[in-house]
Amino acid sequence: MNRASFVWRGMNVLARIVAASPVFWTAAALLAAFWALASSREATAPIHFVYHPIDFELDSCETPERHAPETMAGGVAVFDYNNDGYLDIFFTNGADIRTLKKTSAKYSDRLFENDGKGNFTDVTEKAGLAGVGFDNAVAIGDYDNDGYKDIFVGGVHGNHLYHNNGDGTFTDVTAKAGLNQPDSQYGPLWTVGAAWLDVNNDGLLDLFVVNYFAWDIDTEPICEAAPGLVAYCHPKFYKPTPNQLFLNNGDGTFRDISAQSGIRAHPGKGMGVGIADYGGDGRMDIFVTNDRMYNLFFVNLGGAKFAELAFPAGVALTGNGGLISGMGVDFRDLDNDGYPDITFVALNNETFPLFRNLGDGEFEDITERSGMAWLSAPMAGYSPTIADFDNDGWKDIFVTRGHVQLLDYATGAPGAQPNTVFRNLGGAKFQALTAEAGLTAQPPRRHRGSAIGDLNGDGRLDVVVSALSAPAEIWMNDSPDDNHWLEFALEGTKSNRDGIGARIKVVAGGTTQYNHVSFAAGYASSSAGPTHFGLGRNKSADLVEIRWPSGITQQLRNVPADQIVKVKEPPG
Amino acid sequence: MRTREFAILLWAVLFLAALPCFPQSAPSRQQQIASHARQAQEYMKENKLDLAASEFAAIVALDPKNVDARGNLGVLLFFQGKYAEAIPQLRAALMLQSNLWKIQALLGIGEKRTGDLKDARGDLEKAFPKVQERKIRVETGMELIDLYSQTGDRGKAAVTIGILREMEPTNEAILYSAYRIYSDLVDEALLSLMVVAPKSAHMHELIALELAKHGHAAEAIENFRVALQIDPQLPGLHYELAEMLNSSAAGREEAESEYKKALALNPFDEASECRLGDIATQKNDLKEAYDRYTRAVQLRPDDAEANIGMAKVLTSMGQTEKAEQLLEHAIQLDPTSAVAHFRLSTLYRRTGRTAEAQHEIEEYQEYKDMKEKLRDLYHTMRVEPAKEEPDDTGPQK
Repeated sequence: MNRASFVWRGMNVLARIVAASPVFWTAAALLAAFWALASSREATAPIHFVYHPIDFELDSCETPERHAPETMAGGVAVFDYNNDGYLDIFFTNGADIRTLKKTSAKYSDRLFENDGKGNFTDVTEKAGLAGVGFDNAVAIGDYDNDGYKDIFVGGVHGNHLYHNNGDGTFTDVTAKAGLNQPDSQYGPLWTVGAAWLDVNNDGLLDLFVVNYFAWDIDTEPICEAAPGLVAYCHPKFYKPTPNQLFLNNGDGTFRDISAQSGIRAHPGKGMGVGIADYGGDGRMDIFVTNDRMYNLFFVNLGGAKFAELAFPAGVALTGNGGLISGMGVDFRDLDNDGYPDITFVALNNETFPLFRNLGDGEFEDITERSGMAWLSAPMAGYSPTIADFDNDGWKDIFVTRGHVQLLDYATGAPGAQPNTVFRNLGGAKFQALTAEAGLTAQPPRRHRGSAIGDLNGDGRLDVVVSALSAPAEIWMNDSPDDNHWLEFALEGTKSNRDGIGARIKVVAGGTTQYNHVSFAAGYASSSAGPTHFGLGRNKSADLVEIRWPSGITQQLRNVPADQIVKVKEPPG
Repeated sequence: MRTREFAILLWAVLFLAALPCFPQSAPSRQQQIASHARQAQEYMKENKLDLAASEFAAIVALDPKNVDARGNLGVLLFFQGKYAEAIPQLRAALMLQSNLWKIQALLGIGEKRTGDLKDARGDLEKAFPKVQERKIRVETGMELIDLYSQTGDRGKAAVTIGILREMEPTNEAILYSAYRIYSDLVDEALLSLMVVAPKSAHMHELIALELAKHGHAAEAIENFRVALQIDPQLPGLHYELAEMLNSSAAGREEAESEYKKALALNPFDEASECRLGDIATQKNDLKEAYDRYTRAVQLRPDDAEANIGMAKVLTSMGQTEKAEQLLEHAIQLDPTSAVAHFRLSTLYRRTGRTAEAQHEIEEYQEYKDMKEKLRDLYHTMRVEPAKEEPDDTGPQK
């Protein structure tokens, strides 16, 4: 008897039993319900997401020649473009790789308007944001303090500044702003990241631009993973380029102070930028990850001058001196000690480093101690974002995953991977949640940029992720615990309007947390929603203290939870 | 042999073969010999080798047992390319005095060039261990290796080239020769194994190693697994598989298990102990890591990697002074260890020794750069890109 006929005979026997037993179906239904309940409980981790589609597919014009920009596209922004109180989504997109022009509608950058319930409408055309070139990075910031957030888009050999007109449209003001000047020494640059910050605390947002390496399609080498199998080249084949700092003149124009500020003296192969006041002196410092080069840490000396102190601060390399593929970065306080910490991601076997700020000018590598080394070693990541996804009062890390390479065999790791959220178990100890967090509901992809924000107003932070040659993903946060939360939407008066650089301290139920306003996070992306805090079981914050970039300190007491608090900077 | 090297050999032979060369004879004959000898020296100084040879021949005619004259005549004939004429003179000199190792070396080379390979091998083998002068010894060894290669005696060639590499580790010709000999040995061993044991565990292990060398990790792992199925007790096999798994994205748990199996088979497997220490460190299991590295250091106190691992654990445990000592020791063991320099710089910096920290950073950068370049070079050699544009194919960032 073969196996099939044996099984069928068994089914026949079972059918006879069922026919003779009227309670069978009731029992079976109960059993099935119990099973479903048990399964769902088992599957629901403290942080959980559900997939929500959005009509955007990142097209970087991938070719068999594997030109470097093809694998580096994918900036995402979450911000409220029309001040309706709902966070909208902006995606950068590629272009024809030879001409670097958007020769087809499929390459259009896209703006999606949120109806407040998580439904998105494409408003790109009306907004005038389709773009013209091969775009990578996006940085959101209200550079002219008019109350409407503007958009900086960085790309391959061309950047653009879009001024928000406040009526749902934007105007390309790149030339007027003076941001279209070619580099006399390095030629056209390739921007992959940017951050708005007020480097001299004059109330005007300045622009820091992260440039990758010198790239020219006509001279780019052809690299092979094996004879005849073309792969993306190692960054060592390309020359480093400098990052840039543009000082806001306050009249819609910017001045390139890269050289005077000390930034230009340190060319690199920049990938990500994180900004924070690491020493508590009220000045914003800048951390830049480099691809297979030492990281750069520009410490703000005041007067728009910076000293590069990555080695003395202990953040140039991993604890073992590893020179890794630094990708996106975030720079926030993970252990609630008031000092912003640094995490960035890299490729498989390189781990996702985590530097704890010791508060004395130095950082220590706690990648192993935090559990991150073991958890992340098999992963390749692009965009890390530090935020409290389960509102338990400890900030977690969401990482978009995917390898630079398309071909699995070329890397020893899958090119396409699922995203992962690293849950902070308290004091910067982490647990990796992938399938448990619902993140395998979509097939693995080569994920790139990401931005976060509460897209549906439920108090939980959602995540928008781009993926190469694949649909973008919205991960709606449906984490099970009904923890409380608070968000702060700051409005600077003396300080910059967005309040970028403001440090917010929240005391609730005997615990103290810190965060600061920064829209720069992850890879090539910008999360420009209100600053979020999870309060756990606390229904209010006993104390909220805001230290504005102007130096003004403001306190709020007994702030009820579960609301977005709009805070205007008081007169000094 | 190059002209310059010949000259060196020539002078070495002529000067060093200062032997008691005048046997008892009638004064007039002795005077004639002395006269010929003086004349020979003059001709030598004037580089008139033909004439010098004639003078030595005259001495030999007068005194056939004159070792000096026989030897010098043989050497001069040799340098003139008259190997057939040189050989009897060199051989006669050796008959008269058997410990003339340079003469014996020259005789061997002469015999080789006249096709008498058997005698050549015998003479070169006798001379090679005894010749003291470095250059002559190298020449003798290289000639011997050539003979071994011609007769397919690669094992002896490998032994000889090993001795030469120790003598002159930066000698270009020796390094090239070593590469050829070892490559031939590899090919020969591979073919032999294929013939005698094509389905053996060793054969699959060998295939796996070759695949791994060329970056085919999955296929290499597969062959290691087959080898283990055939012979689970094969020494080193669990470690090799573990190494491959450890470097792949998803095999770390299994790697750990394989390292443990390697240790179960060989409790003195320091490399596996050290790797398990690394894994425990990555898992932040400091106690396990401490125990593993302690044992590794006990097994091999001179392993820099084990010392560095131990220092790392001690740093995490707050025992920075001990960690510092271990790192300094690791650098003594391996001054090129970039990791040791970097970690030491971190410790120095934290204890306020800024200048020393900076020095260690500089050392780190120097060795890191050097190793990166060597890695690239090795990769280029191994991957052999099909197209010529890139000089490396770095598929991994």
